[in-house]
Amino acid sequence: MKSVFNFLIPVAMTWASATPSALGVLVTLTDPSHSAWNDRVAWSSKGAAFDLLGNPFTGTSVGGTGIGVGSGSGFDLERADEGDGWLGNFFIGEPLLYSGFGSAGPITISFDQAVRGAGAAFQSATLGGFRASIEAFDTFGSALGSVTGIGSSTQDQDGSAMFLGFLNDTVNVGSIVINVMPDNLTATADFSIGSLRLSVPTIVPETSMTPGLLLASGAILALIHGRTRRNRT
Amino acid sequence: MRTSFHHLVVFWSALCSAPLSSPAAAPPGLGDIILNEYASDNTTSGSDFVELLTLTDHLDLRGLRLSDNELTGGGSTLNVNESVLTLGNDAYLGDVPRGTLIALWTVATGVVTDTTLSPGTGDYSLSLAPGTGVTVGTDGLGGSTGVGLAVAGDAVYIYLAGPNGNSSGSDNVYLDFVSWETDNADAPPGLADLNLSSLADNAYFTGNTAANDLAAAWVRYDGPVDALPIPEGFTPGRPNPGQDLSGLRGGGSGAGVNLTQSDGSTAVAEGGASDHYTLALATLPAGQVTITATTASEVEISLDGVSYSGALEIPLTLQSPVTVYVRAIDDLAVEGAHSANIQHAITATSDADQYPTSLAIIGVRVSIADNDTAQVARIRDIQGVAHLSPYAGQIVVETPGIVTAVARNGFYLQDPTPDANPATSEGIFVFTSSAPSVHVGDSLKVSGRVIEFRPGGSANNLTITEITQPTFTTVGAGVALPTPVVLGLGGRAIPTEIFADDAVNGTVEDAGGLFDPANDGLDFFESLEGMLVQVNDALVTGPRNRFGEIGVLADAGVGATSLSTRGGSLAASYADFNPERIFLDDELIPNPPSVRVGQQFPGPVVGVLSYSFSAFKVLNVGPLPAPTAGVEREVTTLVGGVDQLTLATFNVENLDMGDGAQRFADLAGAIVDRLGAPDILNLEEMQDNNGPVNDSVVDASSNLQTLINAIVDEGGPTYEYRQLDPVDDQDGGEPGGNIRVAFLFNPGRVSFVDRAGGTSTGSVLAVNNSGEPELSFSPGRIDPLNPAFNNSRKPLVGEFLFQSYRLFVIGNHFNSKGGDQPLYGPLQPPVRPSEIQRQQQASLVANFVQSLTAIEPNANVVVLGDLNDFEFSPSVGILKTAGLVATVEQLPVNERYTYVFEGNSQTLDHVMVSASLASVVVTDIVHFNSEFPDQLSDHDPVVIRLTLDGTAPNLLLNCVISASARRYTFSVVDAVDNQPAVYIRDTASSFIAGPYRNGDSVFVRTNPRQAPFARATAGYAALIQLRGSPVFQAADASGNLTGLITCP
Repeated sequence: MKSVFNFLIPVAMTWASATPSALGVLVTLTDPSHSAWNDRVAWSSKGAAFDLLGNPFTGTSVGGTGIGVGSGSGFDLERADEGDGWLGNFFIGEPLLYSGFGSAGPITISFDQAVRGAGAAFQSATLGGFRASIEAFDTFGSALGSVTGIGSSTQDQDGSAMFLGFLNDTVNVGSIVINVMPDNLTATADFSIGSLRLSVPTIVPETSMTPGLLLASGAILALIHGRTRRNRT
Repeated sequence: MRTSFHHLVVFWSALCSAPLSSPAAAPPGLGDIILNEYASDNTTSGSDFVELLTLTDHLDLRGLRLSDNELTGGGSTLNVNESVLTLGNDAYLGDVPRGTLIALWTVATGVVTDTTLSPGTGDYSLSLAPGTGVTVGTDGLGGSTGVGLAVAGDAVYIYLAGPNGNSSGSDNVYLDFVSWETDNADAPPGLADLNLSSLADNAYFTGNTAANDLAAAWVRYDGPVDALPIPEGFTPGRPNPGQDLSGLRGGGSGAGVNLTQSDGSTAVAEGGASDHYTLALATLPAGQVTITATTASEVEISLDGVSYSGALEIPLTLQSPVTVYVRAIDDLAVEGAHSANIQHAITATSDADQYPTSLAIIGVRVSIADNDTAQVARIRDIQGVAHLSPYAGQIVVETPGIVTAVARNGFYLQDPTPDANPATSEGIFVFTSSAPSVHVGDSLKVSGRVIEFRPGGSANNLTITEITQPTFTTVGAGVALPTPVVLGLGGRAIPTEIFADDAVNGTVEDAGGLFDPANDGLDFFESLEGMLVQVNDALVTGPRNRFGEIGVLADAGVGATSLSTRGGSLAASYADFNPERIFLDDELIPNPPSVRVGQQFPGPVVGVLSYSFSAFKVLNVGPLPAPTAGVEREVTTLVGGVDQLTLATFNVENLDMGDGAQRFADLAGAIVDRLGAPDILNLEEMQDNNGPVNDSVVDASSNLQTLINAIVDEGGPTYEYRQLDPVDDQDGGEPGGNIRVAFLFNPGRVSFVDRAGGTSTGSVLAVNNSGEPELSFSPGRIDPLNPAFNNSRKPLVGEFLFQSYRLFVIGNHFNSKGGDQPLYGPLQPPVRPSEIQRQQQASLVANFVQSLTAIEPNANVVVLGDLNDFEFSPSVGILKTAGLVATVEQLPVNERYTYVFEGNSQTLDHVMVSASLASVVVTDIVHFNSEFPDQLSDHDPVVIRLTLDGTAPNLLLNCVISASARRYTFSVVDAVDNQPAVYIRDTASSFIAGPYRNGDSVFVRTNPRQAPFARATAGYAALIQLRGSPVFQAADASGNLTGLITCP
């Protein structure tokens, strides 16, 4: 495991690793309270538990970052709350994005502006061990690298869901792809993610903005579809 | 011109007492003098006598002899130590008138003799005793003068001695004969052997006056004749009680019958012209007088010269003469010159005063010239190319052959130099009636009469060509026997399918039929009749029966067309009843081994081919080889289960209490151990409690309970029974036995629906109860008063419940095959008249089944029992028209048999089921009787198992919880259905997902806000989203459901 930051926080029952890429250096973050997180997407903004969110759908972070969300399964993504539509190890009442019944995703989230990092708590529906990964892509769709974590899925409703995030050395992350895979491959592969944490630039440098980051939501969704297709091939 | 022996005209009237001419007295001929009375106390008091009656005028009785010698051995042997009475050369015996009674006393002591005749004064009696008109002596063959007639039985006859002088000489003229002993004496040639009872030691004759009179015309009396004088009415010299001799003696009204023979006699020739005589009443009768003329077998008579018969009624109302024509029967017998008698009697009269039926009328003696001559013939000529010999009835002489086998009453003779024609047998049976004095290997020349002997006189038997009354000369001894003809491989090929298809007019004995030994079984064996044959490696197809017969196939069955899996010979269709099946018979070599189907006699079996009881048989001339091992008794493979009901049908062959405890125990053991104690058992031939005792008892409760108790003793369940007593003596079977069909059932497994009202004569009906059939009464009998069930068992119907299933069981025992013509009989093709009644019975049962299925097409019906018919029979076909399925057809053809008859394995016992059960039935015929010499019954039982799924599957849920859903893995099994289904119901909607199978996993998520769905997903059976909680339920193919189950 390559540790870049000395503030890496060991989390019980989890571990994480980052994979370098040619275009970026990703640092794994397992602390949902890390100071790098300065924005978040609250899924409660997309409706109540059991609401179908469509596939794909768009949204906006608290800080105003536009997002597009899609699932490679083709099924609608759903809203869930811990304890309502999901019985796991998030905090009770925590709003969640659910991959959909039986849907293994992957879930792709694109940003309307480049971000430096992203992270969230993950839980596989199948109780027991699971592996989660976040793969980062730049605004042109080039892979920047990925981080991986191993978690344990329980129904303790204690907020122990594994948190996994990353920071890039450059603010050029245009999208991420989330995979959660239970160790029991014969079981259902659906999963939920908690509130999405983002590390966004506090001052958006004009020069760093790419035309893609200025695309409207429709353009973002097109990108998601493109990512989805590639992932599926 | 015909020769006249004595008088030209015989007439019998006072008016005609003066003859037209005065013929000289002549010795008597047949019909001129008869035995009229005898007393045989055998004392020396003089009370033994024989009374003679003359029927013809002018008889010269001098030298007439009376012998109480006994002729035996066909009239050729004298039983010595008997005496001969010979009438003397006295003048009063030289011209004796008709109507004279002559008492011949055996001793003179105490006898008042009478030698005076005075017809003019009514004296027509003579009384002669030794020394007076008669002498006692012996003849040239010996004997003694110990005169006396034996009380315990004796015989006397009168005759004119020929030149050789002995009492049995062929040159004698025998006149009348009577015997009163148990056939210990033979009648002299030409006379009838009356065989009066040996108790008839004193008897007189009252019937029609003729020789060869009927035994019934002799009347026994038990008068006290030991002491003289003899009581009135039994006095010798006086007419017997009821005897009217007035006509003979010319007294009374002058009535009588004039008989005139053309040319003074009646003589005909075989194949020649007729002769005739006339009858006329001497006086005008007051009404019609009918004279009946009867003949011996050698001649026929006619009133018109065209239509001849053996008897004539001649109605006479006037005195005009009526002509009777006579002709000889042209037989084939070599008889030489011979004679026959025509007898006359008044059999009806309207003038009893003049012409009473007791009036004696003279008969006619017919001389017959023979046109047959003895012929020299070889055996093949005698046998011919047909079933009947062209020499039948003829005399053959010097037929050569070697004695191949000796039987108790004859021997088999075979020509050592056969011809090249296989159709003509070279062997023949020579009948000697007693043990012959020949030996195997003797070379003989045999003469005798050829006959076609039909065993038992039965029309269902072919004939055996025989030489009877043989005489033979021995040419040599120890001669090598002819080589046996091999039947089968390496020899004559045995027809395997056709018995006879060339019969004309329904019989193979019709001369117009084709004799086809190459193709027809009957002709094949007929062509070998009497010959030495050889069967190699005989395969036993039926157990040795009580007659010592064993059905076999030659060459271990190679070449046979229908072998069962166990070595039997299958009767698989009407087109093939196995003419290749051969019987070995123990007639010559007794005590054959007790064998079972499948055993073999390795090597050759040599015997002579004979025929009896409607079958050709090889009478082995040496002991049978030691047999190999045969089949073993079977045990059913079918056992019941939670959802599986077993039924069986078993003919217990006249079971009753008199059979003894051991038979009940044996049957019970078989029911438990070999039939697996079936849940329902249909029994046929259950008799009443006292079995064949032919009284009014019809109750069978002791029989049934004894069997049930025996089953318990053998470790079986405690059965209950249901049945209905038959009406006494109305259901056929063994007289007095009152056989019937009865049900046993295991109440621990199946329940009987009792519905009151069933009787012996009440007809059960199907009742529609809200769309479901039930019986009007249970048990009940189907149409018991229908003529189709006359003298036959009535079907028994019972209603049973097994779990949720209602079954209607119909037990049957159709009428037997009695009366059907045999396979190897002369009548071809054989007629099977017993089928008619069975088809009627089948129709009634079929109708009843349809009355059930008309109410509920899926009614569960089982028809089973001894149907006494084959699976390919019309009777079974009729039952099929009711939608019934013959379960025996589930089995391979070569396993279909429940009975072995004459070495043929055949199906008589059946189980048929309705269409609703056709797919759930399995059949097993349990062979432990029919193939074995020691049988509990002559039938093999049939067991079926019905898989009737009456229980729900067993469903177990394995629940695994995930954060989003629950995974359920199903463990669901059913006793019957191998793919029971699991369904998932949504407690909050009507949504049901499924079916899912054993081992499937599904994920179920509760989502109260979205529509339920179920979708298949790779890796597991389904993803199921419900609005509420899931509940699970499993079902089998029969619709049995579990309760609603949730995950714990």
